[in-house]
Amino acid sequence: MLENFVETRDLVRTFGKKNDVVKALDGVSISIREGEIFGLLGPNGAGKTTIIKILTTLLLPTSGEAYVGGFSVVKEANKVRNIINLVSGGETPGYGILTVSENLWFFSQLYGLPSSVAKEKIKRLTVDLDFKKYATTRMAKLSTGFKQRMSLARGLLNDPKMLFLDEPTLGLDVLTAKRLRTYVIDWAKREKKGTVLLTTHYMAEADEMCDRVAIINNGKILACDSPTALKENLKATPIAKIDVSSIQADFSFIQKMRGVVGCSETRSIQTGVTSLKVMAQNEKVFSDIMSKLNEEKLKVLSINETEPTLEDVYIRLVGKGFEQAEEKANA
Amino acid sequence: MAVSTILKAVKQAIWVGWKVETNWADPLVFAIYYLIRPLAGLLIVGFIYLIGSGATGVFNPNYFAFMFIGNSFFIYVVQIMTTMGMLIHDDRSHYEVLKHIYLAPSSLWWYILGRALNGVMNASISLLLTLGFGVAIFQGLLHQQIPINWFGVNFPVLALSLVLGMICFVALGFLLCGINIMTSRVQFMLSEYVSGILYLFGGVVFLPEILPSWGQAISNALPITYFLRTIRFAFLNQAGSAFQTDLLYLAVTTLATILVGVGAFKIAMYKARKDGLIDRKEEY
Amino acid sequence: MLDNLVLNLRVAYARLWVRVKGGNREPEWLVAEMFIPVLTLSAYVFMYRMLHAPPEFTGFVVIGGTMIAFWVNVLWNMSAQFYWEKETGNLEIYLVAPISRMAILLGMALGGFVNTTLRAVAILAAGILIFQVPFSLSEPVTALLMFFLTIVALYALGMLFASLFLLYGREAWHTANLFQEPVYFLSGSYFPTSSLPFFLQLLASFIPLTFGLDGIRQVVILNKGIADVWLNVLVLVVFIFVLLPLSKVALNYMENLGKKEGRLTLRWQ
Repeated sequence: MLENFVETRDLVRTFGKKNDVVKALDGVSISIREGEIFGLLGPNGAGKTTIIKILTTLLLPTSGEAYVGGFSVVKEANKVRNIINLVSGGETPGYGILTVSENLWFFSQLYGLPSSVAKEKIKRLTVDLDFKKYATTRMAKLSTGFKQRMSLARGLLNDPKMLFLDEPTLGLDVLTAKRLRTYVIDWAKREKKGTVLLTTHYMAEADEMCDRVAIINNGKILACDSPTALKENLKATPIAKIDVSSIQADFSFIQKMRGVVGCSETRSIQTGVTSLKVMAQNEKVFSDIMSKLNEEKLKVLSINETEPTLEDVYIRLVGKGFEQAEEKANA
Repeated sequence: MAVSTILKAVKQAIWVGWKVETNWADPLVFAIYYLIRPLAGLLIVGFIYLIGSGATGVFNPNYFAFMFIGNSFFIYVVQIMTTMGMLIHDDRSHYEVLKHIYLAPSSLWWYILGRALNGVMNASISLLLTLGFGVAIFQGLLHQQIPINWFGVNFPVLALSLVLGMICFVALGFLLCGINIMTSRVQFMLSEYVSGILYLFGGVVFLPEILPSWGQAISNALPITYFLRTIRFAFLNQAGSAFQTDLLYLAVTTLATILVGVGAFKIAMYKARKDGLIDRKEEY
Repeated sequence: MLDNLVLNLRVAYARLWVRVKGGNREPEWLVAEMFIPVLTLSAYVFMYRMLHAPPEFTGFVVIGGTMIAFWVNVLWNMSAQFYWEKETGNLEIYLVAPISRMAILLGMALGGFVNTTLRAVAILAAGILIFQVPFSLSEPVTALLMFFLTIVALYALGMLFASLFLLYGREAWHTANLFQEPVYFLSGSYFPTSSLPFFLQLLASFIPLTFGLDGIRQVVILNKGIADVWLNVLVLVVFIFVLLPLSKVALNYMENLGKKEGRLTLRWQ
């Protein structure tokens, strides 16, 4: 048994040439234990999909090494492919003109499954993922949720030892997303069928599913530990949620105040309230914030201390929330 | 809708069509691409003429000119049918922009018209290059006489024929768009069907008179037949040619095509909205 | 090694099955495949009639149109297929699986072959029934040999082209477009290439279709035998032995280049 089923060492990946080079990964070193559900959490453009593409042999690293199941993704790509599968969210590969069963049978053949074995597996997977009634429906006619279930079924056909899930619940409704998450957890942890690398930018998903999470931003790993441990590290940092009755005001001054470690804001048009999540060095900082808000004639509706979440961990590391980080990256 | 809005929509559509068609290559590669295929088509028919005539020893330069002009100007049909035949698939399923264009204040009609005009532009580039290289190869290199007085072209007739012809082919293109909105089952072959039928029955490379009688009847009903006749008149200046009659028939058949094409598209758009087809994604 | 072979044969069969199944669900494709080529071909037949050319020229056009059907299948149902797979997100799935790329292409080619054969039969039927082309089947084995070698050589060339689509998008698409009419012209699809200027004949000799068409015409229209077409046979065999390994090398090279540049699964290039 390998100590680490997946390992990357100083992985670097750049795109572009000469003066227009983008560094998507900047010395990423992670290791995933066998049987683990490992999460990569970060905003859009952080480098999550790039890591997955390298580990699934779709992309070569610019420098550094990566191993899956003990095989080098660069030199032993075919051996890697024998033990992995990939499910990407947001797109559903397949042939619209064929039915779900036909598509799944076809993909099973890419892994050499005898037809009788494949048909049994397909039957079981369509039942387990609750889309058996659509087995004879053409893929083009399925809704997004059922297409993604089919995608996950496809990813499990070859009983991969390593399953890569790239934002698998992207664009799915709450129930379907929950269903898929539960299935993956059962598959990896209860049935112990394989190891999972999951990329997501949904904090709750990482929190629910992952044994360990690596937070990535701008191609660098900022932290890597279990969600509990990551949040535990923040226990010493006071976090407060402040609701202010204004959605037009500019709250950027809070970030600049002394003692503020990080601040994220969520504006609700329906209620006309902005919720500020503020992390501070000590509780006195909250009083300063309240005074400043009063000075700005902004009405505070409530202030409560909260338990740290993964988003708070992210804010602590980066200093701003996901949305703000993405806005900055896009600017 | 204000005229300025319409013109803007058409202009933007021409621009996006130009970008989609050309930004995969630098200008030289693009020019070569727009030359090579039609020139190869011209070379095929040119050599059929040379080899066929050589087998019998009877050469007819007037027929060569007839075929040369017909095949060259057929570029407009091919380009417009290809552009408009694939437009709905590309914008709806591939680039997924159709619904956004539909929802915009400037109408989808003007967008499609703009894309069609871009097809006309590209075809014009192809045509000029093909005529130039065609003359250089056949007349210059192979010493095949082409009895066309390039300085004596009847430009008013040419211009009128081209305008009517383009209106007609664009209207036909709207018919293709209408069909493709309703069903995607024939989208990849529709433009080929239309181009193929027009090529065979339109008097492009041979006189329709050698077709069987039912073929001649089809030929007489097609606007392309009169389009090419009037274009040939402009280049070949055949005395006694009833070009006014041909021009009239071209105008009449163009009008009929407009009614059919535009009418079909209008019905298709109504049905598409009713049945939710505007943003239907095909998995082809 | 045997396991690998069995796996790749399975893959080829599965991909062939997808193509045939899809084709059966859209019979209008079959109608188009049979009807559309007859239109252009008929125009060229009428041209020869207008010129009062001997009847064997009609035979040249019909044979040319028949073989072009296979060339078009190679271009669009095999080579360019990677472009479609990339755009629909399927290419990623193929590349992550432990299979040979050539197995996928073989499956696509064989699947397309079924439809193309129908197209070819329609063209031949039109030739015989409508245009009364005088075909000769005095040496059917030679005719079949020429046909088989031409097809294999064409598909090998198609695999070479397919490698372009691993890296490129629209450039490869337009390049494939460029290989239609120019190839029809150079390979003498509608007339014998012996009438072309020397330098064009030289260019044409790089296209397997040129030798295949010439050989088939000699046997089926001009009643020649194996003794007259042995050179065509030899050249086609050489093409096959050169193109097949070259296409494997090209596929590997382009895939690696695509992985290095990050363009392997990039859409809308």
